[in-house]
Parts: sequence; C-alpha cells; structure tokens
Amino acid sequence: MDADSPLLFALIGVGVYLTRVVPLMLALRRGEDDQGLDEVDEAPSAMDGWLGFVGPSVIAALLVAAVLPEPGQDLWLELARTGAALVPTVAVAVRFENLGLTVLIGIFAYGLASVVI
Amino acid sequence: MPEKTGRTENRPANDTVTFTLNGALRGARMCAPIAASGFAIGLVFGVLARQAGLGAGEATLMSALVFAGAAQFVVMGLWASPVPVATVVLATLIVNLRHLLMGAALAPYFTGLSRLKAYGSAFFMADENWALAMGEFGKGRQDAAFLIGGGLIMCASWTTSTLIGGSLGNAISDPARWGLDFAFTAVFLALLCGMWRGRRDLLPWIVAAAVAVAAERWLPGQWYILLGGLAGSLAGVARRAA
Repeated sequence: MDADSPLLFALIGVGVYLTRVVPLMLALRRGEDDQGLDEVDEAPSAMDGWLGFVGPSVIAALLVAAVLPEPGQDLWLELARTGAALVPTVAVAVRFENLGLTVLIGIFAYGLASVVI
Repeated sequence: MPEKTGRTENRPANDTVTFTLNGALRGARMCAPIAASGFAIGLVFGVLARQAGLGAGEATLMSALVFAGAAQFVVMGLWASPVPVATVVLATLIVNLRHLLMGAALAPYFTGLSRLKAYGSAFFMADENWALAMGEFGKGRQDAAFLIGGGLIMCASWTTSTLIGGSLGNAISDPARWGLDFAFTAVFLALLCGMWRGRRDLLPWIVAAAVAVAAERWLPGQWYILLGGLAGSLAGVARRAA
C-alpha cells in the first residue's frame, strides 16, 4: 500500500463530506436563527446560478475526454465501437436516470461492440 | 401562523421530526434493491482501481472513506504516477457540487435533531437514498433515520463489492477487452443526463466539450477539466445574462 494513499483518500473523503454537510449546517443554523423556513429554501436557489453551470460543464469536459480515443489507438475503429456503445447507453441514461443501470448497460454494449466491430 | 408557500406545504413542524430504528430499517429495506445494483458497480470499480495500481485494501479504504461512486470513478480516471493531487481533489469536489443543493434541501427534515444525528447522516447521503428520503418526507413520513438506514446498506454493499472487485482485479488482464473502461464514459453520461434542465444547457455543454478537447490535445496534464468547466460555466452565465 502506498503510504500516501490513505492520506489522499481521507482528504478526498473530507472534501466530499464537507459538500454534503456544510450546506445542511448552514441551512439548519439559519433555521435556528428563526429567520423562517422560507429563507432556508433560498439557499439552494442563490447558489443555483453559478453551481448550476459549473458541475455539468466539468462533467461534459470529462465525458468528451473519456470518449475520444487515446493516442496510439485506431481512431476510426475506436470511434465506431464507442459510437455503437453510446447509443444504448444514452437511451438507458435518458430513460431511467439510473447510474448503476447505465454503467452496466454501457459496459455490456461496449464489450459487445468490441467483439462485433 | 405565517402563510406557507407551495414549496413549504409538506414541511414538518419541528416537533414531528423523528429519528428511530424503525425509520432506519425502512430506509435500508427501500434502498436494498439499489444497494444490490450498486454491488455490481462496486465490483467494476474494484477491478478498475486494481488495474490503476491500487491494492484491494486501498480501493476498499477509499470506498469506505469517500462513499461517492461517481467521484471515485473520476479519481480512477485521473490516477497516474505521480498522483495529480490538486486535480484529483478539485475534480471530486466539482463532481459533488450537486451535494451542496441536496444537503441544503434536507434541512427542514433534520431541524431539531442533535448535531450528531444530523451531521452523521450527511456522510451517508448519496443520490439514490437522498431521492428516496425526499420522497418519503414529501409523503409525510418524517423519520429522518430513513436516510442513514438507506445509506448504511448502500455503503456496506459498495465497500464489500469494492473489496471483491479489487481482489479479482489481477485475474482480469485486460479490462478494456471486457468493456470495463467504458464505465467512466457511462458514469459521466448518467450524471449529465440527470443534470439536463432543457435546451438552454446545450450551449455551455458544447462549449465545455470543445474547450476540453482542445486543451486535452495541446496542454499537458488535466488542464482540460478546469478549462472546459470554466469555459462552459462562463458560456452558461453569459447566455443567462443575455
């Protein structure tokens, strides 16, 4: 085991936990200050403007980098396999909005495409 | 009594919020099917983590400490030697930005609980048990332990399957041949589909993708993530302002 890995995982874990707990803490504190539940409701909408674009944009960047073939791979063969696998994967993602099901169908579709193409 | 808006009609009065074992068990039962499907994903994650150079113990430790599937797949996608620590931490935080909104939305149903219960529950907040919990709360079943009950069974499934997948990792010599590499693409696709709010999203997503492709080709490291995210979000804000 790399000696630094547990530290890095703990760092990531703390960061992820903070994204979960800090807004809850702030919203609960606002509630305790008797500023009303309606004000609690405003916290998400106030952040929504910026956060609403950053997350999807970063994931779009990650997606396109994952889809494109790496240097050294057969460009057209890889694009054909990826394209064939994307069709059912997108369909399942749109229809069910379920992370697990989308991943399983995607893996199966890509595996099948790699055999056929 | 203040007049309530439509968004607050289903909110509980503080004295109706409970946190019971029955609520936790109900959450665990309701989330069991999701935990079962998550088990398969955990196996895939364990295999990919092993292929990326992590030991089975390291991968399992990560699943236990982070408990965020999408973020963990992102980390594995970026894993290299040496590990780009800043990029990895930043990317995981950005992938989990949606939790900012989800955590805040829980507040009305956790008001009046002890900090230990409220903040402890937050660790086990994942997309699926959060969605089920919000559905429960909306129907008037206001037992806040539902969230942690669902989260615990999902976390147990996720961690165990990571260990098994990580242990099997070396037996699968070429994960790409089995399509396992496509898991990253599928995770990002599923996340994006869940974030789709309408055609107004198209422009920032296209800008982010285009800038990321250019940066990935011409710049070293993982600058494409930051630049793509920045360009896309600026395009979105600019379009909204126009």
